[in-house]
Formats: sequence, C-alpha cells, structure tokens
Amino acid sequence: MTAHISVPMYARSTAQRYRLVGLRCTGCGQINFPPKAVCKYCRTGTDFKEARLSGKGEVYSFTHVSGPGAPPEFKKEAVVKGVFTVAVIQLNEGPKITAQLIDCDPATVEIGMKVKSTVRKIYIEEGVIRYGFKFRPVEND
Amino acid sequence: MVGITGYASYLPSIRIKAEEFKKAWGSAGGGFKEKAVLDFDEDIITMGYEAGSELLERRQLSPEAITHLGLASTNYPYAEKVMASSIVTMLGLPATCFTSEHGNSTLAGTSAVVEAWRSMRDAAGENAMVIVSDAPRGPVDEAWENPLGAGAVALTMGDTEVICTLEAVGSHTSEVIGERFRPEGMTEIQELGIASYSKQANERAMQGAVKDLLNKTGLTVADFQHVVMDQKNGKQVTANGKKLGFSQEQMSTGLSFAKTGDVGTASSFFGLCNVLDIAAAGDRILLVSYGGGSASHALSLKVNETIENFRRGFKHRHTVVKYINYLTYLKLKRAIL
Repeated sequence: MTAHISVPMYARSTAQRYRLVGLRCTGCGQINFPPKAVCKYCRTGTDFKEARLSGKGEVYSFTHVSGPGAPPEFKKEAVVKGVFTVAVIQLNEGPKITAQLIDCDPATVEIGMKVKSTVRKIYIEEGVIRYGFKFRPVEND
Repeated sequence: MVGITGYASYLPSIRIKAEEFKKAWGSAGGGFKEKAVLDFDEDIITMGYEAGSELLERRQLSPEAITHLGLASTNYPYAEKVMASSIVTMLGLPATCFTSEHGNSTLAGTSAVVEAWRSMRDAAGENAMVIVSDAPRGPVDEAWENPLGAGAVALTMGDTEVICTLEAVGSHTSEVIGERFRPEGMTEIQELGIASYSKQANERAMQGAVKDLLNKTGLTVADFQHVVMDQKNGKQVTANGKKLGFSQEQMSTGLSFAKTGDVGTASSFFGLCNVLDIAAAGDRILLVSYGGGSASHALSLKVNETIENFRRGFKHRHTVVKYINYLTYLKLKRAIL
C-alpha cells in the first residue's frame, strides 16, 4: 500500500521537507516540527513564528529496511542499496522526526549517534520527484 | 570590480576506482584514477544543494543575501521545469532572487558565471550564487563512459571581499556537427568516435577563445600562472593544452580529472577549485571551458589577497564513505535493474 501523498499536499510542505522550517509557539516557546495548527506542547497556542531548525540531532531509535520490507515507493531503493536505515531522530531543538540515514554503513548505526540533515530524493510518484530531508552521521558531514 | 567571493565543492561519498573497470572490461578508458558515483537518491539538485549550503555556511552568509542564482548542468532531473526554485527553497533564498538556468552543453558553467558577473557589475553590494552541478551519462559498454563522474561546485560572486576578480572573457563559436551530443529524449551521450575531428574542433574553439581574450586584454599566455581547461579525458587535456602553448607547470594544479573523472560542465570548476586552494595573491588564472558542437569561453581571473581569509581552515566536502565494485556501479547506474 503506498502512502500516497498528493502533489498539492506535498507541495504545501516543501519548506519543512526541504529546509526544516518549523513553527515556534509564541505562547510556550516550543518549536513544533512538523508544523501544527495547535501547539502540541502547551495544547492551546495557535499563534506561531516560523523557525528554521538547524538539522542537527541524534539517533533516538532505528530500524534497517531491506527488499521485502520496503514500502512500494522505496522498493527499488531497497533493491539497489540492499538495505537502508530509517531512524527516529531527536532534533536538538526538541522535536522527534522519522528519516532515512545515508552515508553510513547500517552496521555502524547506534542510538545517540550525532547526525545532520541534508536533502535527497525521497521518491518519485506520477513522474514528480519528491525531495526531502535525510540524515548523515556528523563525522561524515 | 566583480569576481568570485567564495567557492565550495561537493563530491558524492560513493566512489569507484579505475581498477574496477579494468577488472570488468580489461581496461579503463579516459585516464582517470577514481570518480564519484551518485547514490540512488542523489541528483543534480541535491548535489547543488550540498555545494551551495556548504558555501553559505563557509561564508557565514545569510541565504536572504543572495539576489541572483545561476544554475548550470547538462543533466537536470527534468527536461522542462524551473530547477532554480528547488535550490531556492532548499537553501532558503528569497523568492525575489533572480534565477536562471543554463544547460545543453558543458559550456553551461561559464555561461552562468559570465552572466552572474555581468549582473553583479550593476548590483553594488549584492551577492550572486552560481551552482555548477553535473553527472553525465553514457552507455556502459563504451570505454569513454568509464570516466563519466558526478559532482557540484558552488561559487558566490559580487564586488565585496573579492577573492579572485574576473577581468575579461573571450569567446569562440563554430558549428561542429556529430561531436559529443545527446539527441532530445535520450539520457545517454552519443559519441561517433571521430577522434581527430573532435580533437580539432576542441582545439579550434579553445584556441579561438583564448586568442579573443588575449586580444581584448593585451595579455599573453605567459601572464597566467595557472591554466584550467575543460577536462573530458585525462590524457587529451594536457596534449591539447600544450598545443595551446601552456606549460605542464601552468596546467598541473588545474587537472582534477584523475580524482573526479569527467564531471560534465563542472569539470573545469573542480580544476578551478584545485587552483584557488593554493593560488597566491597576484596570480592570474586562465579558465577555458568547452561545449561540444561547439563553443568555448576563456576567462581571465586575478587572485586577490582576500583569498587568504577565505581559505583559512577550509576543507571541501569530499568525504568518502565507500568504494564500490563494478556490479554495484551498474545497479546505481540503473544499467541492470
């Protein structure tokens, strides 16, 4: 089953996907990333200021994905790469997000490993390239 | 005076050595030692982002300060779609930034640089960014495909803290059919293999552009401490350079081919980075580009003292993560899947 994010939906989120723009709640000061309509921390804030995250963080948890386990959009990538790693990243500013790791041997991935974001092709659907963030270990940055 | 105010380069972290081609085919074409290979999820735009973001960070320049963005490539991921908007959105450049894309041959890089130069001459205090990103493709069963590599170079240009002034530009254009070309709708370069014909065309264009530059400036070949040329073949480029009157000493630093292979329109820019990494204030650099079919630009660059400040503690983003074998190379090139 594909996740199918429509083109307009993806396009609305390019600032967050391409350069990690989040929303800082003017009430409690926390950065919501991905952006939210109501602050997920204080649960009352609806006034935000755009805040670009640094892209720096560390691996909170991870899993390795290989051919049969990959969703349809990532099947070919899994076949070519053999195996790729998906991690939950704890960003320095507080939020946690899910992203692929690149530029590292899956065997070397550890919880707590420092990582930094970059931009890669996530997948192609309807002939349209979907770019987004992936993370690499800081020592390979 | 307008010139280059900063530079940075990116090579994909996956590399392959010429030995792998020798193991597969018995020999490796083109005279390269190793080259970079795009990972499955990389392309012209992501490489351009790497070089561009590296440069902004290096120069501690806010993305909002870029008012002109030029891109150059022969392998954009779309044949038609604005490419600059992806870079603008990835780097956070202002929506009002003037953007332009150059392509269609390996002349594109210097086209973008000259355009930015002319633009910044009327934009005191402003900053242009030029990103030259390429990854030419060819049929894997041809020896001349072996050195086709991947990489991106980013430059900022303007009139403030200029590390290397662009003094003048010479040009030469002549119709050369059936040289390296790529028909519409094809992803792989065609090469008819008419070797001496191609070589002559290359010499004629580059000689013509250099001559035009020297006529305009009153300079001679001897006035240049460094010469950087378009590089499609490790052996041919020095032979060509010698014919143009350049010494081995003038050419050696600007030869990046052994490490990068043929990076399309970015080739001469990797050579330029090599030179800028070591050039002394007062040095003159001759940059000669070439696009098959054919045309050449010859640029005269003069290095300033400010280059010392820029270079301090600087390292290019050339991290190697792994060397692959030929089979993995074919998978990444989508030649066998």
